[in-house]
Amino acid sequence: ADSATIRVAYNLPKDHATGLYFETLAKKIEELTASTALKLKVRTFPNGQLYNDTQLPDAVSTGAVEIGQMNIGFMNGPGTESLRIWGLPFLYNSWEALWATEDNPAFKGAFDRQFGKFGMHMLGWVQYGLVEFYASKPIALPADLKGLRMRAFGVDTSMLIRDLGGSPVSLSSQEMYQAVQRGTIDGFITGPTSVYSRKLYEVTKHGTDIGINYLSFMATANLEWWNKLPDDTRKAVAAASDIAQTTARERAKEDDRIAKQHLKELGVSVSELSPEQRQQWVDASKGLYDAYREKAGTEGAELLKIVEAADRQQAAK
Amino acid sequence: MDFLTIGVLLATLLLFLLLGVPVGFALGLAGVAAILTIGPSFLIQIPLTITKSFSDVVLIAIPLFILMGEILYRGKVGQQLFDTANVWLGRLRGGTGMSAVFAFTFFAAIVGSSMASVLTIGKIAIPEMEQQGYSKRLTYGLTAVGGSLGILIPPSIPLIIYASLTDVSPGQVFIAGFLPGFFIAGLLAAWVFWKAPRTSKAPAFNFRKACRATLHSVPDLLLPIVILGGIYAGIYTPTEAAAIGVIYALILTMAVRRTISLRDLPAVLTDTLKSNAMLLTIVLGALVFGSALTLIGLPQMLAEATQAAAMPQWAVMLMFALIWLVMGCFLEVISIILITVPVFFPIAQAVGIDPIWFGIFMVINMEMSVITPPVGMNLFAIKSILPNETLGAITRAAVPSLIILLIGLVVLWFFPGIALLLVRHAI
Amino acid sequence: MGIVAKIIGLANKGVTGLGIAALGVLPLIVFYDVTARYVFNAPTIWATEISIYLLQLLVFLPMGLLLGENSHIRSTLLTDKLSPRAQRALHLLSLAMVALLAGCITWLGWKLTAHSWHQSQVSATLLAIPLWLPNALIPLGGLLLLINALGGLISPPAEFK
Ligand code: NA
Ligand code: NA
Repeated sequence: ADSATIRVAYNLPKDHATGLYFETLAKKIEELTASTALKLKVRTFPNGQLYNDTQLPDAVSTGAVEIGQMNIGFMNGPGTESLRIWGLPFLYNSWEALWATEDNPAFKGAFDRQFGKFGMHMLGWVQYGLVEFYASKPIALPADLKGLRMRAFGVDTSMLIRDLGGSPVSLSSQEMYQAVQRGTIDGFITGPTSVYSRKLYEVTKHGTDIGINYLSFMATANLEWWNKLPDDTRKAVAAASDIAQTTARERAKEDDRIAKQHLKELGVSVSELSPEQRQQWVDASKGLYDAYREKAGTEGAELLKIVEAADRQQAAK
Repeated sequence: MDFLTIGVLLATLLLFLLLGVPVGFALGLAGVAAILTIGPSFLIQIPLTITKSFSDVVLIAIPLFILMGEILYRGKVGQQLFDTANVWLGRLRGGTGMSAVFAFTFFAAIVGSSMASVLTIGKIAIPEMEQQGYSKRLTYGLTAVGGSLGILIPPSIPLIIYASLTDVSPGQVFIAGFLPGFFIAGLLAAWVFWKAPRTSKAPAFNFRKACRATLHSVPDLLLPIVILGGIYAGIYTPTEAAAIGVIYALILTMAVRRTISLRDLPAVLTDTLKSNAMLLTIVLGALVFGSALTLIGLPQMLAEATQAAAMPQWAVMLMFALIWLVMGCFLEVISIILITVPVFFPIAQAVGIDPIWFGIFMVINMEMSVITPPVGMNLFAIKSILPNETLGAITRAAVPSLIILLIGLVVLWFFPGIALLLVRHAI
Repeated sequence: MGIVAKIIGLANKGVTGLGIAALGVLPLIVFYDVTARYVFNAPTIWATEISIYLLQLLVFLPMGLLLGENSHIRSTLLTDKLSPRAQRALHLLSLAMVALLAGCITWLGWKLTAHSWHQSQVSATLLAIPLWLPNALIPLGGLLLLINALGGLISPPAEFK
């Protein structure tokens, strides 16, 4: 059989849940395509070594790499309107609701259709984990965010901070620690795992437990390359992604739990909210939902319905 | 990817450099050649890498620091600093040299590069030292090393780039540069004390006069406090500090000292435009070359080989220092950092080297590279202020001063705590 | 040939003017952002992004200008030891190599610009700038480099004649 080398690029470290997805994907692709018409050898580029969040959409769609991590936060313009559901806050009530939504063929199909317009094929979901507010002041309710300078990344977190009354500040990630420490900014939106691994708990003593996002990135493949793959090889790659997806989901959930526990032990106080208090956050972000419905039209409405159904089902359990 | 490919690539790069192709473009061409070994369809990596790298906010500091240096140079702020030190130290043995060391150290806390320091302070200090009968070895050596402090004592463009490549906080590596910088300045002062001629022709020391001169210099002496103080007070980030420095330098030279007039500004901006493009073209070429090496897998291969060899920490650091020494002879600081840090940093982490200390260790090696011939930016800078001296004579006189940096490197190697002290007990 | 030199001269003058303007505005923008954030507690949504585009302009456009002036940093270790004739030959060879690279940058930069144009990409910020605009700085810079390299090939500087 023929063989070929392909390149997989992503933005986070190998040992992060998202890294686990791509490393598992690479291993499984080599395993599963071994006996297909085209045997694939995979080289991975972690840590944004080759491309970072901002460049990966262009890198995959121009074929500079065959497979890469997509962060919708760094894609903008026509064709991304319905995908922006990705950044809506308080969308899911649980991991299980997220996973049920992602596994819904209509939901994944809608993403694949949009990615197709950018010359990409959607392979699978790459679990990142939870995203929360962390700040040098306690944040319990939306009113607490008023006037706070919060570091934002990408268009979705900027809109969220602005809509909730804070000021989005753009700042490079390596300036975050000192910027919070010295009060240049008041806080940021990020995952408990990153607060833990980047030692940000030394400077931000307050967190939330409201699950702003249960965040997933996507793995996409260059469409031209994908379409040229022999049928059995394509099936093997898809199967490899399914395995990687499950592995990363379990890891992300577990990592978040451990990180939150560590942060608590390290003295980061977390505002625990009653359902009524959480509802205040949901109400405060209504403007973002309205804007989404307006821009994403019927397709957006369909996607929201799928999410709502999954949330209801989980709430009933 | 094999050793032959890499060998051919490096030979190509060296050939381009020797043929006199500008450094930035030689690196770019070698990058194109490297990508072509994978396939022409991957060339799109070049514009993608360029936009990615020049979208980093941290790099905005580079043109701003160059602009500030240009304003201070034209505004004769260096003279002011040197004169102030000289009224205090001039009578001492080696006083003129010590004043120069003070001025270099102080200026290092204002600018981010080494060339700016040599051009600004060297221009004043070299004639003064020669007038006092200092040997060329001492005069040029002190200038070469003193100027190189500009990249070790914060702010520092190389440390900014290091931080942007490794996700280490620029503020923290900045703090770590202080004590090693002062230590090397101390070595320089000791060298001057030991080697300076005994006879001093400086005017008698007058306390009141000295105080008056110092008072007069207060606006100049405030510069590092404005730049670094604002960073540590949390008013602005290290990147933004550069812009504040530009504004302050403008006020100082245009309103307070009136050494620059409005009519001089276009020339200041034109010169900055050119120096900035000169430097950033090399950055651009190095980025293309570096990302091409990543694509063909050199960093990964080197990392695996080091891991497989299970080298101890000291051997890894020695290997890095030797590679830097050789590269330092032929390449410019920024390109060396951009090419080697993505390869070396993961290896350094794997053997447990503190990332902040590693940045300082790297910068001291880079200080050597601006002095080693044939491509030594500080040597070029000295040559540009002494048009009648040959580059060969400058090189022969300045190269022995490398021993100062080597002593500094070895001492810090055994006591990395000197670099990490201020970081651990953060101010 | 006179007209070629004139066009190149004009282009370089334009770049100098544009560069000076960009360099003059850059510290003001950053300073304004600090003031807005620290004094008025209202950071701008545009300062950082515009600064980045100015930085890109300051890198990509003046490369050709410097080549025309022969002021890029290069090693003269070998060339200094050669006869004027050999120096001239190497200078032309080096310009030809730069022209090759400039052609590459122009073509690839153009491809990326066209890509962002076709996909109507806008920046992923609240400002949402059409991305083909900053991306076009790359092929433009490549083109300026190319014409300066070709100009140097047609009429090398006096010192080599
Ligand atoms: Na400095
Ligand atoms: Na050197």
